[in-house]
Amino acid sequence: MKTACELPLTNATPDEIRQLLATSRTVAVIGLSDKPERDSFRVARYLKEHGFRIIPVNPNLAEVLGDRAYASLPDVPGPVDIVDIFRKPDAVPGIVEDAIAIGAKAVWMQEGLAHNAAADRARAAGLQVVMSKCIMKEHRNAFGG
Amino acid sequence: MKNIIELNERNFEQEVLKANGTVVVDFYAPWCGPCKMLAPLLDKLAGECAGRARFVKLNVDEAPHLAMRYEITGVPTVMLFRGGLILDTFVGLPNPRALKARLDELADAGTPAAVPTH
Repeated sequence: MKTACELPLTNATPDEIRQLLATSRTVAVIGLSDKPERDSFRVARYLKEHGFRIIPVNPNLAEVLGDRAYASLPDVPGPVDIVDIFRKPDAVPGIVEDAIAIGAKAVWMQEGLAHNAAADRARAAGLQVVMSKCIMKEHRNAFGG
Repeated sequence: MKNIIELNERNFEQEVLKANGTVVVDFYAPWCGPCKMLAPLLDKLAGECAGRARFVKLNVDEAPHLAMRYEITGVPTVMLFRGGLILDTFVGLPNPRALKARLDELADAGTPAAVPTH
């Protein structure tokens, strides 16, 4: 049983987050569910409605929100700006390695999710890292909508 | 949680650092599962320790400066303060019996000089 939740030791600043969102178009949503009541679904739908291209990544689904789902990040064709993670902390290091390998611009861990060691690894590889923040809330805060 | 007061960055100093007696601070986050499990246990303990220790809680998402100041790297973190100093720190879900035993020990010892742990 998990007895504690890790907190981010450092995080992207509001300005950095705003800049990242303003210059990104493609978001791979790792662990995206096809259930409308799930946070991942609501966040991905919001992103689509606000001009982002989303790429569902979930080995158990063929399609979400009308977009083809891929089993893992390395299967995704074409460039990815943000890798948005809706998974448990122990899945994060592997996803970060994949994000580095495909040349993603940023790794984004959703609200409640932080992995400082993986974040250090991503930053060292030149990726931006946002931890324990909801990309939908941050987009709303930065741009309204 | 009727026995536990919610604090913020503005009243922390007054309610914790300048308070008389022992103050138990629950550093938590609203999205944290273990924090949700701990909350009712602390509330019960607060009831049992009424008059001997005050229990307060602080949402680290809304108190980033305090979380940094007290080097909170995971939640829940429970800290025992007295006289503005940290007596004990429990990171993760503490064993309620161990926490109760420590509070009993502190109550029995009166008001000893606190030893800073940082």
